[in-house]
Amino acid sequence: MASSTSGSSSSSKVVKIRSSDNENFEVEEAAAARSETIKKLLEDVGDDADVIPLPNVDAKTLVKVMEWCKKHMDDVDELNKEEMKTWDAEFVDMDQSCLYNVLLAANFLNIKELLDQLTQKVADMIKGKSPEEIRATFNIKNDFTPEEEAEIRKQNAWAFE
Amino acid sequence: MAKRASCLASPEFSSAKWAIFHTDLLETMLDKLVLSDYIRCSAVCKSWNSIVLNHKQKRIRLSNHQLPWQLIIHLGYENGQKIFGLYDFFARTRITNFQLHIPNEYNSYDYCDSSRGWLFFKVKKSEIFIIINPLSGTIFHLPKLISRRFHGGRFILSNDPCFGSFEVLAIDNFRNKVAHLKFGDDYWSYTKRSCEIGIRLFLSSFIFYKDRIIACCNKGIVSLELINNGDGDIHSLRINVLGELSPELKKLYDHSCLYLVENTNGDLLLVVRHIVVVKYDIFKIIESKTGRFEHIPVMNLKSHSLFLGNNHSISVLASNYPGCKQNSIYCSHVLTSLARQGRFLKCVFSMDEFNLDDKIVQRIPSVEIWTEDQSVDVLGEVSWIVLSMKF
Repeated sequence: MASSTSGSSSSSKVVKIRSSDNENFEVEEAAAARSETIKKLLEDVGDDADVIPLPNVDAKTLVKVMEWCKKHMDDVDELNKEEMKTWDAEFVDMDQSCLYNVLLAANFLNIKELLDQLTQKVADMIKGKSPEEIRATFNIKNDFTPEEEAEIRKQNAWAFE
Repeated sequence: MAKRASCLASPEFSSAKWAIFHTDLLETMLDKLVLSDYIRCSAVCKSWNSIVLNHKQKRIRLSNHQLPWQLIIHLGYENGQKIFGLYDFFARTRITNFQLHIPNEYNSYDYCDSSRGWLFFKVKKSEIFIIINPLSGTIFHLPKLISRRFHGGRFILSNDPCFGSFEVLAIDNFRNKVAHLKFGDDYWSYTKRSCEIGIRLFLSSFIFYKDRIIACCNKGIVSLELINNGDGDIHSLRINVLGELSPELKKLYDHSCLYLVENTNGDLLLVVRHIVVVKYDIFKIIESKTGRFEHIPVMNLKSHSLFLGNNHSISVLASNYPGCKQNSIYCSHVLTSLARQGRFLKCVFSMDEFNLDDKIVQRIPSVEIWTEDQSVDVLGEVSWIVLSMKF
């Protein structure tokens, strides 16, 4: 398989992946293998693989996920830990619809560390918010009747300001 | 990076549907929330509500890692009624946005203790005890404690009784006796005087830890184990010494308070509070391959903090709670100032904040209450309380 990615060393292997909307990407194998799903597919098909199709992930989301995988390709030494933390914090700082898609992709691609960072981000967006604010943040429709909602609030009134 | 440019021009993301989000992912996220945020999620929409409710059993086990409030009981100055006040000591405010369900008749009961969000009461001049959930008003009656006048003072629950199955430990500090009850049984089991070990054991701190009852005594770390007396259903509690305290700790035993606490990671910690010059030492209790318990010093709690109480101690992840400092120990229940004004008393409670980084103890005034003059004896009871969830 020919490598066309410029800048990568000649020794690093490149794999091709295809998004749901039929975009092809070339990614270093070490980065792509951060995804347990891709890793397993690579093991199954061996070197004969032409393009690995990822029918659940669109191109825009795949770019995001691969950006993370590339950054997390190598083990981080102590010195770079702080820098990495800042990078991760900036990475997960995306709008809710983007976050939603990347979260689903990370789940499908089975990237545990990324999933953990993203679910933490969602939790941080919920912390200290009222149900109304949570709905507004995540664009969720209130499907309770006023009576139902009042009843839920009454049950654990201490948790509602 | 031509690839990247082309994909940025690709169609917009499909719109997010958080309401029908993957149950697994939503549950992972819910695990990262504190209880009050968790409960608020149940009021967002119907599908979140059902996920929260399906997840509750797991959640309740974590309730001991919530920031506790303080429960202070005193007589009100208007009608002499007993007042159960909940206080947020970091905000120094009384929590008033909901009512505690404690029926009026319990005014004539003695409040004993609180564990896992439930309150223990004793019917006056009897050996009858009840537990009550102040949020739901649910009441369980416990069998009589009668063994040569057992004076139950402290009570510990193994888990939240709302699921129906639980164990209770009753501790009589004056007589150095402990009683155990599995809810549903008709009788309590009691500790016997432990003569076979050669020295008398004085038990102090207790915890239900990983299906065992662990306690501290002047000799070391012990477990309390139910044994059959050979006559039917009557059991007693046997004390097994699992590990010795270090010579320094044994020497300190009479001049310190010991607390057992399970931290957020599930480790068992022993905290020693020196009384003469207030300072704290922390040890982690580990079980060796031979089953012996050893304690090794812990210099740093990292991002956690501990709340120590006579009834139960609590470990939380400090970053979840504004005002709560990490790597710190909070020890409450100290009455630091009393001022009289006519028939009324102003009482100020304080707590110690001990930071492990600089080893300095700060005494912080936390809660101020007004009470009727005569009720000062009622003030003995200030306890940490974690609220459980009502379903």
